[in-house]
Amino acid sequence: MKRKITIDRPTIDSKEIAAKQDFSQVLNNVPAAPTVPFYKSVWFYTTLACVTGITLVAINQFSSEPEKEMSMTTNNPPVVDSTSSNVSKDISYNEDTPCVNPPDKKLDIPMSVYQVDGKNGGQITHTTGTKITIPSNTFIDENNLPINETVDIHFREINHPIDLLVSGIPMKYDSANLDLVLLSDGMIEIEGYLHGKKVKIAPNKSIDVSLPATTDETKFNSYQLDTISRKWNYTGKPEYEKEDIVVNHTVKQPDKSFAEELKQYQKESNIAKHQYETAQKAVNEWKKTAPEKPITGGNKDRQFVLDVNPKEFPELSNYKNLVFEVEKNDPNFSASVYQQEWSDVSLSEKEKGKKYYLTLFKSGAKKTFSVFPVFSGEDLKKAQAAFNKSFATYSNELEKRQKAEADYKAQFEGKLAQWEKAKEKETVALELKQNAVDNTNKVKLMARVLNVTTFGIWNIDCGISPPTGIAQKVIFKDKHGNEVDILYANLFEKGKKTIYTYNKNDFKNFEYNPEEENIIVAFLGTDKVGIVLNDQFEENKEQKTTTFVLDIQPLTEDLIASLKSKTM
Amino acid sequence: MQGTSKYHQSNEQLLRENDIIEAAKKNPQRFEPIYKKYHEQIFRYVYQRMDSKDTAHDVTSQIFIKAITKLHKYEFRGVPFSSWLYRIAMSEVYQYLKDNSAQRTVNVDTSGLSEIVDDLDDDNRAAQKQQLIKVIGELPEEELQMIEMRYFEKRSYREIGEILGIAENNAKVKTFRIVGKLKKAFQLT
Repeated sequence: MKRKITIDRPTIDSKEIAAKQDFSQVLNNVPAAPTVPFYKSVWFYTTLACVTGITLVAINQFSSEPEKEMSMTTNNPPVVDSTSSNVSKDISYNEDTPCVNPPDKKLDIPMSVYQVDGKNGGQITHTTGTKITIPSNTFIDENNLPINETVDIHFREINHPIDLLVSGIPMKYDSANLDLVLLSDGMIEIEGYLHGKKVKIAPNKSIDVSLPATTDETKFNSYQLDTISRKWNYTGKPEYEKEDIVVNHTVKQPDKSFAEELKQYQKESNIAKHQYETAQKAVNEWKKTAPEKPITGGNKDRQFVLDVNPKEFPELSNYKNLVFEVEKNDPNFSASVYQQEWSDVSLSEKEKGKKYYLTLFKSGAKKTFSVFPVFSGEDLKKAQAAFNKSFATYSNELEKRQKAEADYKAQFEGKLAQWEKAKEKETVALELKQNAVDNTNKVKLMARVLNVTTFGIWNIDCGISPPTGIAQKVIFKDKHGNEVDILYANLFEKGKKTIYTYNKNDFKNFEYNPEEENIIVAFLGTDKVGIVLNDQFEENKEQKTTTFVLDIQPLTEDLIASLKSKTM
Repeated sequence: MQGTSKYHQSNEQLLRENDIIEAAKKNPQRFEPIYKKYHEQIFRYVYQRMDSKDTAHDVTSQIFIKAITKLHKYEFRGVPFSSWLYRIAMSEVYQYLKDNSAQRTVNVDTSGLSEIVDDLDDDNRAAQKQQLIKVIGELPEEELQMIEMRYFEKRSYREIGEILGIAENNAKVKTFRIVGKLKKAFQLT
């Protein structure tokens, strides 16, 4: 098929697509159901069945006694012949093998036998907990007459992938579009016998088989095995016995009060936070006003002596002939300023009592420096005394403010802790409420119920695709390197209740999922089994052709038990 | 990638959908909510593979006609009904292209190309994209589908798996392999 590549084609608007919706036109174009030709009609088959039945009865009347006995035998509980063979023997769809074909009758899953009163019905509880409910007047004999006597119910469950193998029940399912395999979630076989003869379920009756649920999944369907056409027939969905999960109602109430409590703590904590922040700010602001120790000595090459106006600078009024020193890093200052003649000088405040601007003037030029007072002699003593006084005042105030800050901090942390606790309580309450709401909507699956309308093999399962991932040509050899002729290889994926059966032709393109834990079991005659474990799959992942070395073992109950533990 | 996928639904939604389908098996008129729900998705799937918008609309209608006709064969398997519709769509699209000897369109979303090959050279980006598109255009149909669905239609692996009837994990593994193959082919060109 030729291809046309388009790049980044504009997207069509949803409205434009919706405008083209026309369900009535679609419906009008749905073809009417075709008329059934006469040879396909119900009446034709009914008539044909009647004629055939009458003919068979007539033939039967004239038949010999041994043949009569044979007819009786076919109605007896199933006896499946497992003939010996030198090659592998397995589940197959060949015309000459029975549909249900256990590889070794001795290892087949045995039937449990229960007695039920045909007239009144009854309930049987199987060893697995499965309940079989039989209504009154359920059984009819071969002549469609009701049975009032005690009927033997033969029942077995096949719950393990290896049980599927030893019971010889096929798991392939041909869906309309896909070749699928059935993934089992519970399989049963049920039969009814009266004096060794098979009985039937009356047309308007059904036996309910309630299997304990192993999962809450509801995706499974029910199927019945048609052993004549060798097909699993879809029969619908099983019914589910559900149980409401008990909800602890005491946990559904508290959320409102928690929310209010939380709101209150939130408010209080916000106020406390604001108070704490204000106090913190007050401390920091006060720290900026810390008095500085009077500076003495200094660098004489950067100093000026000024007579300060006491009215203009009262903080300096106690000092005479104060010395001002230019700050170390002032870029405007250089020693040359002392070489020049300045006509005027002024002082202005930078930080009261600490730093000042000193400006020198001469015609058309000026220089400004940042200066600080330097004390000596009497001035130093006075400055020291003034510092001590103001430092004591400063320290007292700082202590007060720091105490207030600490108090507000403690209050805020207390409120915050209360809020956090309330928040945690509310979160827990909300979660509990959510769980309660979820649980109210939840139901626990207790059992799946099969409505058995005819005796035979029934399965609760869903169709899955055969494994994909790696496809290889596979060859089977024994440990001596001799090739082993296998007709069928059964692949198990650990944990899945199904079997993927590959026939000889599939070995050219044997596909499996490398993500799964794979194991192959192949029957070699009636008494031996060849096994390939997952490590061989791991080792040969990259090969195009893989040689699997079979671990050949005698078919025993112990081996079956070991295989069961390896596959589930 | 796109936001929340419309494809995946809760168990309850799936069961409700199945109730509608069971009702539609008896009365096709009851199929209307399903038609409305999936019409756009199916149209977009078809149009992704076709050149003409009108033809894509016709084929979409044909898909729904076929779905209603074959509805009695549908079995609920715990996945959205759309996975069944997509399989019909896939078959109808190819049937149409075959019957009309029409070209199969590959609508490349260039934003998806950088997700496939993330080390495109800045200087030669345009030329490299052209090369990559050429390599994609030569992929076998099955592989092209995977790349299209993942990188151009932005579908999840779960959705791809359900449409193609394979496990989610396998869809992932297969896509990674194809991307690996593309990278290799891209480097060789």
